[in-house]
Amino acid sequence: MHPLLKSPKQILLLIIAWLPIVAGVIFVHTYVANTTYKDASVLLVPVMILELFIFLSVWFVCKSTPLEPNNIPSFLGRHLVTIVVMNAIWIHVAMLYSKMLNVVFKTEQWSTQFDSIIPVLMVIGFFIYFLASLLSYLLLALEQTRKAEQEALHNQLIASEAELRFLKATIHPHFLFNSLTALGTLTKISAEKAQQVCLQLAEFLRYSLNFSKKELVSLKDELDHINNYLGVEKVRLGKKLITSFEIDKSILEQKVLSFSLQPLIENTIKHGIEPSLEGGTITLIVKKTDDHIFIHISNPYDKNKNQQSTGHGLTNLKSRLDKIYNTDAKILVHKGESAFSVKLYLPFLN
Amino acid sequence: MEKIIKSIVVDDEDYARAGLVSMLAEIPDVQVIAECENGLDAINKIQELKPDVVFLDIKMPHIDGFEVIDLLGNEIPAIIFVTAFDEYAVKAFEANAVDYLLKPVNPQRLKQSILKLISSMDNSQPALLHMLDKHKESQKNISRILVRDGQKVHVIAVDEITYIEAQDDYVAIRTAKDVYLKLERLSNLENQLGKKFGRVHRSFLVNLDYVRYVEDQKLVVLRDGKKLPVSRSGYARFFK
Repeated sequence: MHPLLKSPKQILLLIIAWLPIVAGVIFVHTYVANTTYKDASVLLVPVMILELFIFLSVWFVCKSTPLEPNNIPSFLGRHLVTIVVMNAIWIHVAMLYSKMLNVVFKTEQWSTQFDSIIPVLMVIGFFIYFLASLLSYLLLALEQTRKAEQEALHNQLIASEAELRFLKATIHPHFLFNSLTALGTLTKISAEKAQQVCLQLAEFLRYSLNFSKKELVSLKDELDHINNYLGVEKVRLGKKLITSFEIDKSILEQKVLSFSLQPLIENTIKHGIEPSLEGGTITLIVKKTDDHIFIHISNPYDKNKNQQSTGHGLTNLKSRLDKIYNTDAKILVHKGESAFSVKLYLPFLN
Repeated sequence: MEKIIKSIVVDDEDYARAGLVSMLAEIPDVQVIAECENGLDAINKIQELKPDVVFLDIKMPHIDGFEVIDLLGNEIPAIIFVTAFDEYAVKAFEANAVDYLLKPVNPQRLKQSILKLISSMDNSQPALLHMLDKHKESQKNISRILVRDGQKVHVIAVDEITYIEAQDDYVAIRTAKDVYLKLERLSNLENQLGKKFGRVHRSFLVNLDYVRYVEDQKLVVLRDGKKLPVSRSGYARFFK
């Protein structure tokens, strides 16, 4: 669709803008051919209407001939050919029209008059083509900018939606409300313990809310976050939750993807501890191998009592890892009869 | 004239339970007669102590709140559900005017629930049962069926069931080894069990994986040789 023909209002404006050009040509013609305004109009109004269509068609030529710095010669060549062809067609058709007038009015004056205006029409033809292409490229550039802006907005929307989803997934309402419930009771039993849990919960939330600002964190930060999380969970799950950590302190300052361990630890609670009547021990081992940080997380697991997990969390983590580590990070999941374990190999980043 | 309201608090989390118990202690005429930390314990205590009201957590390991009520059979006390965050359940409660409390529990709200309970002691049951029916209807492709047998709860994996037979108000669920009786409608189970099971007859729901062949369009023969009747419509639906 032509950008100047999008609405009736625009079409009207185009016609109004075209009128002075037509008037100008008629005025010049009365001098050049020494004729009346009436005769000049009969000859030139249809000719100029035709030129309006040529003017409009330039847009499509420009659209299919993008202006790129590396193809200036072909760009110019193409326009030169078009300009010559278009004007030739125009003048030729106009000439046929003048000859038709000769036949209709049974006089030779029309084509004679037309011959004298041809040089003027040629100049106008070139000028209008130039103007039309200028306008077209301007409109194209505008359109492109608008498209880019829209795309940027759309991308922003998608990004913030993803962020919201991630946040919702991170701060499980179930976890939050249950923790607050336990905290409420704790305030009556032990104010000191309640305060400590409050602080851990606050740190947990702060880290979660900041996740989008920091893609890479130190291993220590991620482990602190897990500690806060498990600290809060221990309050509500009580003796059901036992943790056993074995961590190589020499790699604590290594950078890792933020939230690379958190979802795995959350899964141990959700699928290992919560569904079980007796609870169990979550084991976390963080070691250094030759070229990886090796993380091993395991938890008790009852195949029969467990609802089938969707595995959505793991898929999500894998795609986040791939983005940062270029598929060099590995996740190995082992689901046994009574234990569930995840091994994570993260390449060193520095 | 005020009688003491005997209540049982069921929640798998210690502090949640303790919190509710201490709030209930503040309310006159309410007495907590037992605390349970899992569904099975709850079923046994409810049977044994016959409370007036049970504060029932929904999300619990192994047997959840809904399953507790289902397994209680016909003698269900007044229930006030307690939930941290369960959009689906809350919707079901609201739709059926079943009382529930959100965690953390607001003591004022708890008092209101008790007052409501006193004023409608005998007429909350139909709403509860209706909600439970709706809840069951919404569950598709379940993987297990729970059956209570005195103090025990049997967990029957759906894959192990050969067929289920309707017997008055009960259904007899058969596996290769055992028969379990459960207070349930066959149509409910048909709805929940999904496509692997076929209602071949008004009284029989058969695990189609266990069907060896069909005899004369009238009998279905199972892998263990057992023969069950097939209705005309049942034949048309599953074996044609």
